Amino acid sequence: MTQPRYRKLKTANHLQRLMQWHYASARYLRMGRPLAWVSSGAPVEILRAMGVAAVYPENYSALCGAQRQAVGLCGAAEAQGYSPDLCSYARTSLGSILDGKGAPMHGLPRPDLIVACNNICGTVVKWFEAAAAHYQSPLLVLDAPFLHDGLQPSTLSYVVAQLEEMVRFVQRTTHQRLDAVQLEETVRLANECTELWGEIRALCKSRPSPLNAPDLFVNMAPIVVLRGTHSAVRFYQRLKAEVEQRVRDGVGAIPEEKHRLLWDNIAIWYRLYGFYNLFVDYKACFVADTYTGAWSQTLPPGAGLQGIAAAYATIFLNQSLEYRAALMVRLISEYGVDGFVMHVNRSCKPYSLGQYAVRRAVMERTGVPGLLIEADMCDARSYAEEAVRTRVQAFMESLAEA
Amino acid sequence: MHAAGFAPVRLIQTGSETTLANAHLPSFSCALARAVTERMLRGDLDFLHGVLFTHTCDTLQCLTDIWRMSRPRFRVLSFALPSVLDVSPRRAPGPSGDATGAREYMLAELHRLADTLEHGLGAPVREEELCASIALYDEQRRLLEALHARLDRLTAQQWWSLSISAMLMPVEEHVRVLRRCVDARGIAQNAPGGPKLVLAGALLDDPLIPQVIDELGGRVAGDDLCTGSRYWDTLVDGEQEPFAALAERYLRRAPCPCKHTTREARGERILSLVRNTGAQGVVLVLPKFCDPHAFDAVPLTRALDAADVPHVTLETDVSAPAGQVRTRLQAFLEMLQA
Repeated sequence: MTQPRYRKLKTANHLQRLMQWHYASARYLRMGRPLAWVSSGAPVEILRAMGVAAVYPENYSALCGAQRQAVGLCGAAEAQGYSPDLCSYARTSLGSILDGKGAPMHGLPRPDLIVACNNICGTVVKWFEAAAAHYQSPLLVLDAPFLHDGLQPSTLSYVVAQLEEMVRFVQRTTHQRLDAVQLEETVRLANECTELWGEIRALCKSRPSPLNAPDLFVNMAPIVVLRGTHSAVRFYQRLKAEVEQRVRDGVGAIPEEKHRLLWDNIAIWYRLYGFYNLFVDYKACFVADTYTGAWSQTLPPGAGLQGIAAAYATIFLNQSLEYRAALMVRLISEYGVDGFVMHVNRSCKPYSLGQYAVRRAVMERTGVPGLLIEADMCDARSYAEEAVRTRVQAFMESLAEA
Repeated sequence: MHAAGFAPVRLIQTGSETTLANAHLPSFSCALARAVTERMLRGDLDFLHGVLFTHTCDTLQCLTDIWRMSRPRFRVLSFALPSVLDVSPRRAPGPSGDATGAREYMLAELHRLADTLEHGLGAPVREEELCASIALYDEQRRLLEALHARLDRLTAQQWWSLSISAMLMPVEEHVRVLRRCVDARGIAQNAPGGPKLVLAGALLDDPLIPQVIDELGGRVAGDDLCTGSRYWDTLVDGEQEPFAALAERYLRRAPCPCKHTTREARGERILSLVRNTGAQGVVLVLPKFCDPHAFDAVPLTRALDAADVPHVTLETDVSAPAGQVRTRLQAFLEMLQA
């Protein structure tokens, strides 16, 4: 195949500069601001409004994965006794902390405080406990009980109480205060960002889709690490303009789109392009996914901590499998999807253990076929190239015949 | 549940053959999840009125919904326990205070469960029955504690049977058995005089390890297990309103790796167990694919190393051959006797 299998976005250069600036400024340009390590599902708006800079170990691990540096760092964590069966984001991160030789950007800068919220998984709590013990950093764990049966009033009050405690915790550890006006402004910026991201994703309903899964995965970084900042808003405005132009010009993400697919779970970072190109060879584009959409939920403006609590308690990964199946059914209908692929990710039990049940339910309700692929998001040692290729081929051939 | 008229039975791993469960869970799910799902799918659990999943780890969290979706006619209730535990005084914001609202939340969840039992299963929880159930379970806990003061008279297998049966037998019968055992005349001096061990880990639902300890002449001096001392070591405060007392007990329980706590680390608890029992070594029982315990094993073994306490880690799995457990334990016991 001579023609390139994906079209590079012009904003890719901006993205690269933005992320470099983010990591460099966290280390060198904080101007006295304290630094927090936060989990991807923690309410960063509170930290920003209190003048605390934030970095995301999960994003750092994904970046190491994409740069194919994760396996060495996982090995460093394993040498210290961490089981190879544990989450590869956690192992990559702990490896960079415990033995950071060769870690990209020399690892993350030392935290002044750590905030973990278990609305994404229980692993993040154990992982951040280990980081806090290593750095002797104050750690706050926010408990957002899993919603098997929807959000109960008592669960909401519990999360609100903890956010109030979070404000006191940040104040105790950094001597910074929460300013209500600043919080409202941060929430406004975060919402502007998530709305833009939601609109960009919705543009993929067009045929051909202007973006493919790797585009969504690469461009989600600012929504995670810079949500609530002006620079993230500017980036997504720029990206949206480019994606809109693609739609106007009828330009798709891949050279020729015949099949439209839905992706479930975190990316396979070390094979980001190689893996999705297996599908491009069959003219298949991933027009939607369940993961990057987790950051398109807006916060109710003017509702303060109550609103933030309601939003963070109800994120996608903190909801039942039934909720996830319903979301996939909706995406399949809205985006005109012909098939879905689920990455059974060894590193992410909360995302992966229920996929068999969700797959069955979605197939029953939509008649759309689903493929399961077992791999790992960061640990390339768990990727069986030939087995994956064979499964993708068989799936795509049956989809082409259907 | 007991107060509502049910006989609670804990689901443990019995058998390791899974066929049906393989279509419902990926290969990296723990043996417990696979084994109990297999039994549910086979219909072996149909004699139950339902199952109550409490939130502990990511795996059980998923299992709740997987069961609901794979066999809708099997009743699945969920109880989202708080994951952050603190024991400090009520409403005292600060680094050591319970400003997190966990008590109120736990209390509300307990009432919600009682409500579900009453309106969903027609089994109301009345205060009088609840107090009686609390008293009965507290008696069971006290007897288990008393039994642990006499561990020198028990073989490892006897200790294991008496502990695990607390999870499986009707509590009334179990209390009767325990009373006989705690009575000094009830048990003979069975245990050999070999090295004393502390067992630590998650569930010990398989008799293999106690069997091997007996065969090799070892003794169990104490434990930090989910099916052991973490079950019985905290009593309910009888002075409080029963629901509030249950919530309070939960927040005061011994630290489990699934929970975040600002209290003593688990390593300190195990070290004091070693000191108090005069144990010569610690056996860490680590189920494969159990993330919370795998994370905790690192600081735990470091703490044991720092205190010069010998330890051995046994990773258990459906596929772990019994011979391997035996060999590792044998080497460990020989090392302790050397």
